[in-house]
Amino acid sequence: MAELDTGEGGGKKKSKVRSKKSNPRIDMTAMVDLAFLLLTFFVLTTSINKPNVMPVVIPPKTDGKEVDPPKVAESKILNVVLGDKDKVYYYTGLLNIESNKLPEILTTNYAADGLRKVLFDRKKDVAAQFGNEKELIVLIKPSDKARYANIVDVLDEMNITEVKKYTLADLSDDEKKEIIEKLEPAEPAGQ
Amino acid sequence: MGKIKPARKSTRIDMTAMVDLAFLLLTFFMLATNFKGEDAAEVTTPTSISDTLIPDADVMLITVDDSGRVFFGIDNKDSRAQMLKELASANQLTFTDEEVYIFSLMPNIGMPIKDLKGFLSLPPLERDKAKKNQPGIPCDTINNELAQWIVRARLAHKQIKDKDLRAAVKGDKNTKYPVISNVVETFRELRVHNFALVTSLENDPRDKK
Repeated sequence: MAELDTGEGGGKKKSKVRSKKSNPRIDMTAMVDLAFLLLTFFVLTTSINKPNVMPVVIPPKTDGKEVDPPKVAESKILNVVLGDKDKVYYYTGLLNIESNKLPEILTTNYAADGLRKVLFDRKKDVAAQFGNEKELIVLIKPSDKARYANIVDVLDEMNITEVKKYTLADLSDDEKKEIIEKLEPAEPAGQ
Repeated sequence: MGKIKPARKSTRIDMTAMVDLAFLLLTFFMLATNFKGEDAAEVTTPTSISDTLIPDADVMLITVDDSGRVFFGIDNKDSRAQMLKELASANQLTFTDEEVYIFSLMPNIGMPIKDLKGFLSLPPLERDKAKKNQPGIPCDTINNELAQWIVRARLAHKQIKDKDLRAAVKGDKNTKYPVISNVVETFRELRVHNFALVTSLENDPRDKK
């Protein structure tokens, strides 16, 4: 089928007798099959694109010395608690059951009109109150039932909304009581 | 009109061009791609807008699958061998040269240190089966073997290539937070403050204008 001219070795002969043999033709089907087989192998077992990564920076451990955190105005702080089933709870300021002044705890989700809108609104509030929207501090507190995708989404939102001051922190016991136990009843709900 | 068959012309296609194309594509794929490493576990990473690429080399990869199993690996074969030797001397274990070689071929490992010797001395078929059923590296407050692996890996890589390892975490979308928290705490203890989370690319919503 496929042709390959194997050369004109007989062209230099002075003899006027033309050889009646036609040039042997090589069937290239096998070569093509081999080439495509190897090609398929490489296409399926290799990858061109390198995985993307999101850089994360964590604050260093405080070597046992309890360093008092710098005093910050409570209204600059937004606490974002990541709950079960992709729910996000947030409140402003600090939560301390003993102080009897519990901030309002609101719920949102990871959609574009959810957490992102909350962040943009809070940035505007902080800008109005303190003059610079970069003063907003976000404390991200995942609960035990939060998925890894939730954490990545929140960190991603920090990048999208350009919040510069944020950190991952643990849930305090007060928060566990107020938020997790009240808003996420344990299953099965034994009422 | 009788049964006269029309004279058939021979249909001969010159396949030279096709062969050229095939070999050209083949050469491209051979030179421009790298083999996908065989992952110990199937992990679907979450998406993020970050488009930073993973560094080419000197990366230690901590993989966490959705059931919370932790796997550890570094990309350099010689560093892996050295890491095993260091781990062996720190834990009073001995490995034969062949076991060290087998270990250095595995890009990821996910089992308690005490099970290593047993695993590496298995015959190849059983070893491959065991590879798919690894229990994961213990990474809790009682027994943090991940910390040991990271420390040995950094030492080994520094000896072999005189470079520092960068940490990357490849977690599954559905991994629960406690395991991730343990891994991050381990990093904090070992003073690894900068690390990367492997994600898939999603569109940046800020680009829509």
